[in-house]
Amino acid sequence: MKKLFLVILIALLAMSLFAGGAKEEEKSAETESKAQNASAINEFQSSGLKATDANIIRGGKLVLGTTNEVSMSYAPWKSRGMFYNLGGVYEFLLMFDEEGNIVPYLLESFEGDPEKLTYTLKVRKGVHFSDGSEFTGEVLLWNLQHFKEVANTSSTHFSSVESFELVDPDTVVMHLKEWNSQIPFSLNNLAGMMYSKKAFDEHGADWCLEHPVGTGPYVIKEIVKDSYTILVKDENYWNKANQPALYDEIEVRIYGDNMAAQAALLNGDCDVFNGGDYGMKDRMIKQGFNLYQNKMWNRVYFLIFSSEVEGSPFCDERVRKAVAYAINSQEMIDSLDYGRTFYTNQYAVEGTGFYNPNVKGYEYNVAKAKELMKEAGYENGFKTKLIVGTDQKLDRYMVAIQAYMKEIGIDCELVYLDNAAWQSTAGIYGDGKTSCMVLCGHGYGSNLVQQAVSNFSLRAKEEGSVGMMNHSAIHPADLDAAIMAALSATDDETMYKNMQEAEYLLIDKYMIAYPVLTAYYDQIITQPNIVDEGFCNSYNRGNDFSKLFRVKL
Amino acid sequence: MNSYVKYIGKRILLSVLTIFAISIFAFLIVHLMPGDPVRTMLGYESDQAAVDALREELNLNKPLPVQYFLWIKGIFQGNFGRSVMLGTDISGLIKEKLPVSLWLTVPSITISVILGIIIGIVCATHRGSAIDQTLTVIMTTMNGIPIFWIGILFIYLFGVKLRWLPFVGFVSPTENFGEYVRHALLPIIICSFRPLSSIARQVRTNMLDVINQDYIRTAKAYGISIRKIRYKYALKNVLIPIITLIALQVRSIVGGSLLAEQVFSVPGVSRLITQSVLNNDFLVIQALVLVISFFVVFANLFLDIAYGIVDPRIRINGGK
Repeated sequence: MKKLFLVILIALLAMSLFAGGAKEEEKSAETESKAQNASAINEFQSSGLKATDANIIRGGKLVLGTTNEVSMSYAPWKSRGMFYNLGGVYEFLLMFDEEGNIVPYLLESFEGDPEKLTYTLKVRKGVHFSDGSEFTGEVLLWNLQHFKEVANTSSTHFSSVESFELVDPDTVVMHLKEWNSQIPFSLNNLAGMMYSKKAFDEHGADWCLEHPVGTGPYVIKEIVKDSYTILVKDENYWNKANQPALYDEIEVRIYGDNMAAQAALLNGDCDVFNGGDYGMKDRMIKQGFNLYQNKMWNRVYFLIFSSEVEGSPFCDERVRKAVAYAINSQEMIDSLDYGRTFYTNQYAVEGTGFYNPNVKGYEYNVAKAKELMKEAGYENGFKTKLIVGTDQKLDRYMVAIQAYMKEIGIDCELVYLDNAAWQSTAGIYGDGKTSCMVLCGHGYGSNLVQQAVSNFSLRAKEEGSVGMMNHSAIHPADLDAAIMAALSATDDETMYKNMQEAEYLLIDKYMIAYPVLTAYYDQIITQPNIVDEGFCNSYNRGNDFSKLFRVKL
Repeated sequence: MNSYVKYIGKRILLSVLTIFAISIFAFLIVHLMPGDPVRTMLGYESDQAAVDALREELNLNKPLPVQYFLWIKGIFQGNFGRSVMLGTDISGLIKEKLPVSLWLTVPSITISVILGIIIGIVCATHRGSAIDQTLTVIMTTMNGIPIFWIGILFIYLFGVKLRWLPFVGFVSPTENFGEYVRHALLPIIICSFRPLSSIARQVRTNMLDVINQDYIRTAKAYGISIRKIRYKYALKNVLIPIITLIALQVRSIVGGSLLAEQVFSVPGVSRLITQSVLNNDFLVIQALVLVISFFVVFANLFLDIAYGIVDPRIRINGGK
């Protein structure tokens, strides 16, 4: 009996091995085929696919998966930035073109006058909302005023705005208290999303939070929070002649788990996925799926020091610099992120005007780090805390940094804070008492100056509303002056010059925060036959579904 | 009968007091959690003015006893408040999410109870046989296997490879019964793993205890058929502890199954609780803790009453 059992077992094992082999061959052929398809897609990309191209398949349903959880509202003034859900419904006053220049979209013209401290906005004729109401100067005025009055991010976008004035039926003038070079970027963000005033007047504010009514090519058919949102084509879309809706229906589906999303991509249930870790992205690319990323928006992972906490070793800039020298960012990128993040030695990305080529940064050098520690009187190291928010899923970086710190004698206790604790004085704001380092992901892009104001200016510290460890980190006067000068610059050259100076002060002079590595802010994985020519693959903050093509392979 | 009425009355009073105590506990634990709920809700880029306004709106600037009183007052008026994270009315949210969880967990518990009792009896009555050993190994494996892992495995097998079943989302049976079955089958199976194995093993153990009792031996000596002894006399006594076990599953009926809902992206109560805790959506947490507690306390009350019916000793002495 035992022998018979053994024979059966061996036979089963042998069969499974053969079966596995056959599957491997099949899988290999499938992968090769997908990879060929992917190279075909690359050709399309290089030739510049347009909406009029014959290869584009129109109609049908597009499924966009995401792991982003529910937001509090679908109205721009209370949204936390659900651009995937809202991308088809809302449009912006200003957009970036393919070269990265900001151009009017829902506006006919947009002009700034630094001397008069005004921006003049003229509405585009013929634009209407999905409820049929017209986009007029009065509607524009209401949108801007309403955003300034009630939006969660009002001061981020409109703190320098004194008032708005309707000067004629089509024109609104924005009066500023001080010149703000970042306003155009705000109008390509939540502050520039237009909502129907008619819908607001008829249904009230609460209704609007649940019912997005914009000028975009799609309207919401159904929202099941934390599950899916269905958008359908608006047959009366104002711009359908130039920019027709490509799909009859778009489903934005929330996947509770990356593995489930990966399975959905593999079996074709999901066309596009926003999310996933780098391991997943690497696997999917190897199987022929496409990866696209935003050209402007990045996410830097800063290590911020409690540089203004009494008794903290981080008050000594040599210690902060030692930490920076001790971290091998490139090794982290290669080994932890499959080479899909990148290193930039400052708070800006090379190729943008904010980038200062003269910033030296801190190339990995343990000997130098040890030398600085010795100079600072910490030859034998010290104990400290390394804090992170659990929602950011940065465990891998935390462990790596802990190991690098050990090399120079810093014994780090890893502290993981849940979202609630993280978004308080214990975490991202700093409590002003605890000596620690905080690892924090921070998204930035075209509005870098505005972000710098929020994170590193004295104003941010005084307001206590936003910023990275603004209760625990130093705010040097010269850095503050450079940032504020960039904000009030009346031309791009001055803005960039001042911001570049701020980069030098932030990194080389003071080492207030070390940019461990940088990730692309928005990345999507698409099926081999989905080509992104401006949905995520653009300079814009929002997502334009009219640039996400399904093609014949 | 008087003592039984007294017994029920005492149990109802205790249940009310329990819910009251839980309401205080739920309120305090949420308010003692670290972090600023308003800041969490609005995001760290939000303005101080917006934060202050929301704090005022949510009464968070008032003393804790006043906040508790206002919360309880709202509940008696049928108003749990508004989820600041989702921006929706919490009562509506519970009405929306609870049925989703129930449509998964009620079938899974039903299947677990029926199959668990059958398997337990089969194992006990065939003690030591190949069938007993095989089923015991399967039940032990089901109890020990990580639900998350088996969920992913099922997705890969039935969703990706075989393409038999969808593995994301939920369709209500009132909308489309066929689609409900297709969508809910995998989560229901996953949710059944633990309770099924627990019930089966408990039934097996109890059945083995009972069939070795003197009264069973006496019944056999009287020449009563084995079938009648097992299913009429033994099973009734086996089921008393099983009722307790089933009542304990009520928590999961109401709370759904966190892992199943997470893996299969089912928008039920469990996912809502998880997100609310992570985002410090305190009004939702308070409301859900209270609602789930109510169900559990009610189930226990029902159980106490059921015990009185099943076991006369309880209704005679229980009131004392």
